[in-house]
Amino acid sequence: MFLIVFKIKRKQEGANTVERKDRTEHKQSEIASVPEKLVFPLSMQIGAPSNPVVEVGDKVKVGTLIAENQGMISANIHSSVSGEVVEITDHPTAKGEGPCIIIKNDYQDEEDAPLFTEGEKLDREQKLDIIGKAGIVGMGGATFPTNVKLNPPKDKEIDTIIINGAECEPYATADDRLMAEHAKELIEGIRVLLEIIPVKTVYIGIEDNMHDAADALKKELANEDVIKLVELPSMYPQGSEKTLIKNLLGREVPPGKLPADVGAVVTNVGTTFAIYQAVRHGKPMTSRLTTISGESIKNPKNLWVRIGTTIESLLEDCEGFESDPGKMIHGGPMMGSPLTSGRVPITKGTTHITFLNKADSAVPERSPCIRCSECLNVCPVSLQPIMISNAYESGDIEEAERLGALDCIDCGACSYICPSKIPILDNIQKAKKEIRSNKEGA
Amino acid sequence: MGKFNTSALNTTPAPHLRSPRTSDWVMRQVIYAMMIPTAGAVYFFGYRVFLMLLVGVGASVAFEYIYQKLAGRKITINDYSAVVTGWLIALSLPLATPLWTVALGGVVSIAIKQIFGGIGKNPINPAVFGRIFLSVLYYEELGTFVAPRGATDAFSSATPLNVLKEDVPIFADAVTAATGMDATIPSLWDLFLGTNLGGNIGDTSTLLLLLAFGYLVARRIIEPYVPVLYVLPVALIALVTSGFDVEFMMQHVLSGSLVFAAVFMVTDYSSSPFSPHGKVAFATGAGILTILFRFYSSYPGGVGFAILTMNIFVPIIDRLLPPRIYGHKKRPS
Ligand code: SF4
Ligand code: SF4
Repeated sequence: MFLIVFKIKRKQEGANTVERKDRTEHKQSEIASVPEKLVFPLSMQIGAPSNPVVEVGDKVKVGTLIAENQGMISANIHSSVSGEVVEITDHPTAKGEGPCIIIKNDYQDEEDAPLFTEGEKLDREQKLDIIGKAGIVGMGGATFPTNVKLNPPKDKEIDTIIINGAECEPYATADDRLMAEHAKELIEGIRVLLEIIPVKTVYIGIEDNMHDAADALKKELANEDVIKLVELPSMYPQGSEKTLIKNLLGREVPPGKLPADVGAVVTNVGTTFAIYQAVRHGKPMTSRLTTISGESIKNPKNLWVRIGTTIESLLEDCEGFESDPGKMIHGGPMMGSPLTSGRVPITKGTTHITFLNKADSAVPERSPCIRCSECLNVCPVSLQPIMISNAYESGDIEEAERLGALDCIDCGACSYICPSKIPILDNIQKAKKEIRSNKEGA
Repeated sequence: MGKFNTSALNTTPAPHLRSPRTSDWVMRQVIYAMMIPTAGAVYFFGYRVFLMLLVGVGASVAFEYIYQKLAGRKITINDYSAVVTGWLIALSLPLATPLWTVALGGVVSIAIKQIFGGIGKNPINPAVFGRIFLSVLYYEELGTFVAPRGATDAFSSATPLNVLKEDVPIFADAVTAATGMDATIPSLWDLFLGTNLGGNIGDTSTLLLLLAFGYLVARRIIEPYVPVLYVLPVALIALVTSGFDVEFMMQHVLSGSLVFAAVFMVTDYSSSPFSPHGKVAFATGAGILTILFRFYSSYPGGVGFAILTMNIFVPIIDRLLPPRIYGHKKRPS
């Protein structure tokens, strides 16, 4: 027994990456300044890009629909300021150069009509409809349309809702602050979820190092027996949907299936807050809490950012750089994507922007694998990462597939832990691409 | 704010941070762990231990350098793995071992590692191979152990296991001389502490080996269950076959390099399986073979042969016991 406990603890320690949250985790959120021009990528969500419904010269208000969803897996986009559409053009975004609507801010902050009239009684379908209309997508980074997620096929019996507050990426503190500062609204958001999917249990899963959030939530949950707060050991990748479901419910999502297939619906805390704002106050998703952090930033902050605000503008709020950045990352250092332009706007899925300093950005030299098994030990889905990487490097794509390359959730824990600094994830991703394109070709 | 210069930004793919641990850091931890039994060796046997280490490590590193140079390979002596191998060889030999024999052990170990392609690629545990090579070549000489300081002189002695096996009190002289005790085999307490024993310089004190074990586990270098699962079958089988003679069991556990091998050899990365279940099978299998070899072979020291035998099965174990992937019902096959 002792050995087992010890083993588990060690396992978690190992998968534990650096946290680097101390500079922002106790910092009260602030409202970011709003720039003169805001950029709205048509492809902020996963799935089909949105279709613009405004033209250059159109006047817009805060909350005016500017692009609408195209098909099921897509989302509406609303203006986050009042002003005028000045351009619809290609512009740098977190996903590379892509079509964007550009709006000039008139600083009047005139509000458009809410999504429904105040006081109106809403039924389940209407609530789902409002969540769809509000353009709400998963704000933890996955950006999957929330109305689709909350409406699983009738034959799937959902018994648990999981609120994902296990913000496991280094530097990320926005969810932590949201829970600490808006626990009440968050719980109201959970009540909306319960109205849509009536279940007996809601778990709010957070990491055990989020003390501010835990305190605030505990206070709100004093006499509550449906909604339960669970403090999970802080380890990476605790916040991945699959890991969270396993650690909270002991269930595993089968390959190619969704959480709904094992009776669970998982939403991020930011998303839940947006649901509260949409269904209780008729507000579309036009802003979010985003952390701007990293050693290179002089004054890192948790900022309420209007969607479409460029990184450059936020840098001014954070007083610029302390040291020359070596890497700018959309998201965190484990799964985020590197950026090369300060003109990239914050979108619905921007949890944080990380500025690594020069030393941390250097790519360490690779050496031969010493077979330490650490990559296996930390893989949250129990793959043998180095064997997949080796199979890819030796050109044996079939072997890579047999070993489960497609089950990899891209968490990067294997590459992180590897003492020989082998770019394991990189190889696995390339293998995945090849496997998929072979399948399509077949 | 100065102009934000984005042209200098690095754009390599995720993950963007890497753990501070490196391969040579890992090897250094093994060296630190080896220093614990090494300190004991110096205390028990005196300063010749340093000489043996120097020769063992020196020969290993030098041979690796020369081999890689001649084979046109990248020189990797900086990764400390040759240091570890040479050090282990020296610790696994008795005090009277001629220095050139120590050197030969290091050379043979590195040779077996290099012919398979170097670090991480050798399916055979190099230190174990080197040690067995020597014990086959110099069976007679290496059987001559030297009693520790405190004994009146350098006695001809034997490992406790030889005593167990042949049931002749060759050990009596050394022990009696040292402790004034009249014993045919060393007391369990001596075996545990390593006091008043002859034997290989690094493996006499089980206590110190346990400390080294603790260090390696705390540093997350080895899995704690591997050494435990290696020793457990030896203990259980000894216990059951002897009709629950606890003392007999403890003698098997505490002598014949068993714990030394459990901590430093069975845990070797390169010659062990990858997956947790594979490691369980490997360690348990090696334990069972060790006790069988001790019972049924006339050659002393089943430990090394057991490990080498299990090394052969590693590719098979790896193939049969990969971890079950999340969400899948069966292991990948
Ligand atoms: S193989 Fe994939 S899922 Fe496993 S640790 Fe590596 S990146 Fe994460
Ligand atoms: S973590 Fe790196 S060195 Fe260790 S087994 Fe995996 S690939 Fe090899």
